[in-house]
Amino acid sequence: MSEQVIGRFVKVLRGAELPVSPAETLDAVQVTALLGYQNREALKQGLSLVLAKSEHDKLAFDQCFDDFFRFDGMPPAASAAQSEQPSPSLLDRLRDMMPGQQGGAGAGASSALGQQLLADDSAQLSRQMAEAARNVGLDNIRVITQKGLYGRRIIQALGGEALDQEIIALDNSERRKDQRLAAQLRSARNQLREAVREYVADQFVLQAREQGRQLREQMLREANLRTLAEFRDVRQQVEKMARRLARKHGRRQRRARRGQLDGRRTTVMALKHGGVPASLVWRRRRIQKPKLMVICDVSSSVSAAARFLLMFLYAVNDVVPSVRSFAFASRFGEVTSLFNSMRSDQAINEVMDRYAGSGTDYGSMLRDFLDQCEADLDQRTTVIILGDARNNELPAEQHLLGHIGRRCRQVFWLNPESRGRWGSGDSVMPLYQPYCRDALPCSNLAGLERFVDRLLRDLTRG
Amino acid sequence: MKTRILSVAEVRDSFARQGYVCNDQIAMAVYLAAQLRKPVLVEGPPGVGKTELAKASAAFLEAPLIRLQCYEGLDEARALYEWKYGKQLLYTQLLREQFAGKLDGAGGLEEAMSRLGDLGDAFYSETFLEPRPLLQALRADESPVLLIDEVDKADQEFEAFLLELLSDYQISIPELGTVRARHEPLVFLTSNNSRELSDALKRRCLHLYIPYPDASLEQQIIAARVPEAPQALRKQLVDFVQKLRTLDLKKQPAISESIDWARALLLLHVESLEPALVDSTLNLLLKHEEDIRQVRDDLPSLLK
Repeated sequence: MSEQVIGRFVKVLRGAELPVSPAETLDAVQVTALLGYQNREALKQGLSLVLAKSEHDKLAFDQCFDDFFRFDGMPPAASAAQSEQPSPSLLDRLRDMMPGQQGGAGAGASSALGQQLLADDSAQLSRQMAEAARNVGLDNIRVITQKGLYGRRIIQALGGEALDQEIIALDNSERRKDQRLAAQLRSARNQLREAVREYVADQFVLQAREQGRQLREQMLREANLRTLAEFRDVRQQVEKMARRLARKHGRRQRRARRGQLDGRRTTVMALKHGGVPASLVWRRRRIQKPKLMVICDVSSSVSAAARFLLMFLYAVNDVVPSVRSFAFASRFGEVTSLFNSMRSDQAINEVMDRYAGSGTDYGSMLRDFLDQCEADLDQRTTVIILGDARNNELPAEQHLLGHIGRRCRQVFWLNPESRGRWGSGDSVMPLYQPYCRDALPCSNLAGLERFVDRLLRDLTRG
Repeated sequence: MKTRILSVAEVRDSFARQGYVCNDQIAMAVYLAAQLRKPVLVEGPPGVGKTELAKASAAFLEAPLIRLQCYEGLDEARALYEWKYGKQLLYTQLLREQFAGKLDGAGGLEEAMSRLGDLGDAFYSETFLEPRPLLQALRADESPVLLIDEVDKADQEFEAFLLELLSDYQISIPELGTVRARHEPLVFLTSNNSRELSDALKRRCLHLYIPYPDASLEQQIIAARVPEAPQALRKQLVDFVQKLRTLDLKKQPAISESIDWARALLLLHVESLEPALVDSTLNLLLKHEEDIRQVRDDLPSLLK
């Protein structure tokens, strides 16, 4: 009993993005066994200790706990045999739907469901409803349009068919008493449907959140960046992906390189032990803080990709604290200060307003960049260029890119177009490619994430 | 160590008697940790009494407290055990003749080697083992409270190394084999969240988050710690500190700082908070020059 309740509760928590492992679920079962269900507040505190493991998770946990145990009611601690206490809200709902029929005691109705409806045994009925819901697999409900289907299945499992037939039979009967009974049953049936509908809606909110979210995320990751800007929670998605990457790469600025002995310091340490090198000192190597320079084409055809790349890079700010960004379309300029003074999405909008345009000239962009920044390029600097390399038939001046490449550590090129289109029409991508450490297509969030992951791994390895 | 804890209330009341005033959530964590034999990971802003909690628990359980302070670069040698190299060398020097006697008359290298082998691991035995906090906790004669303080300051590797200890209360030492705990310790880990701890570590622990206390709890805490302070002053002081915490400061004042402040005010025989007085004692609450400057400007409105 307790295991089942906790199992379903854990499912709800996972739906709210709390990462609950099976081991923690077992802990939760132990906690409930220890604390019991009588004291709701104590149970909440106890479960919170084993199931929610960060400040943020605790808030989500509190919300879920309140929701879940409101719908589900507190199962009695006394005996398992007494299974599934219906929640008070459901009871009330069922009680409300049968006003003034207390005396009837199921007189006349022959179908089981009809008898119950008329007998006003709402406790029994709601228990059966919960059981029917389990039998038809309401836990598997995924999308909102399935609500009707599951509602019908539950009523069927409750014995709705027999009730329907009985109503039809009574309708056809000549006797007035039968017809009155049919009307009663019909109104009770409508109210039952209403109750089932609400029950299914409640369960949907609890159960289906996770699946729906996963589907949505999958879609966001794979949608083309150009269409993506129209979605609402893209920013959260990008931040979430970036957080994960930052956690993965943000750990160490320094690491001991086992295998390379620091002879000098080992000898010094050995003096303590009469010249015996009892403790060895390994050479450590400090990973230098990397510098990033990002040049984004913000002309209309590729601005969406620029928007998400910048969003990504400023979100992993913990790992690469020093990012300088440049934008160009018809003209070129540094936009770093915008990002320092406002939130990244506002800054991006501002950049688009100021620089968007058409008629990109990559050759003059490279020259402008060198004029402004040549002195700042060094072996810690990584330059990322994002653009489609469509140069409007102007000279590509690829030797300038070669010059940049020699002055800095590496150059990456991200192209929102797929590889097949590089070099077609006015694209000069093939001319630039030899001067880049790597050139990658990035048309969706998954591609961007892959690139940033690789970039961070490279930067933090030192 | 006390073996039976009857209820959450017992924990809370005992803590209160020691002057550690806490809410039910904290008492629940200690109760469950003792019942389920699981470590507790305590997180929260600095100065809310995370370390204090371990001390109070040790006093409550009548168990010895063993403390390991973590820092960057902490390794097994400092946390678990180390060989006493100096002593080993000294013994080698002093016993040189003994060895020579032992090897006298050995016919060739092989025999000498096997004779040396018979001496066993004389130099890698208990005599030369220097137990550090973790090994001390495992080998303690009664079940101790082990406090691993600021685990987020230690490296990722050290965190991974702790996993075996936390889940099975045992540790593997290459030269000695696996050391099991004689009596399972009650483990507290504290973290200031300077980096995200691994999921594996979190999974093995109960997770307790201690936020800054609300006004009434903070008043109780100050009443317990500085009982001489008059009731009216306490209330004024707590209200002021609570207001400070809503400001956007570099470092917010913690409970320990409000206690210090209360003590200072008591020493100055203050009956109620005056702007001039607050101004001159502000550095007890705020530890950054810019914070002090910011608060000083808003002082009249904050004291209203």
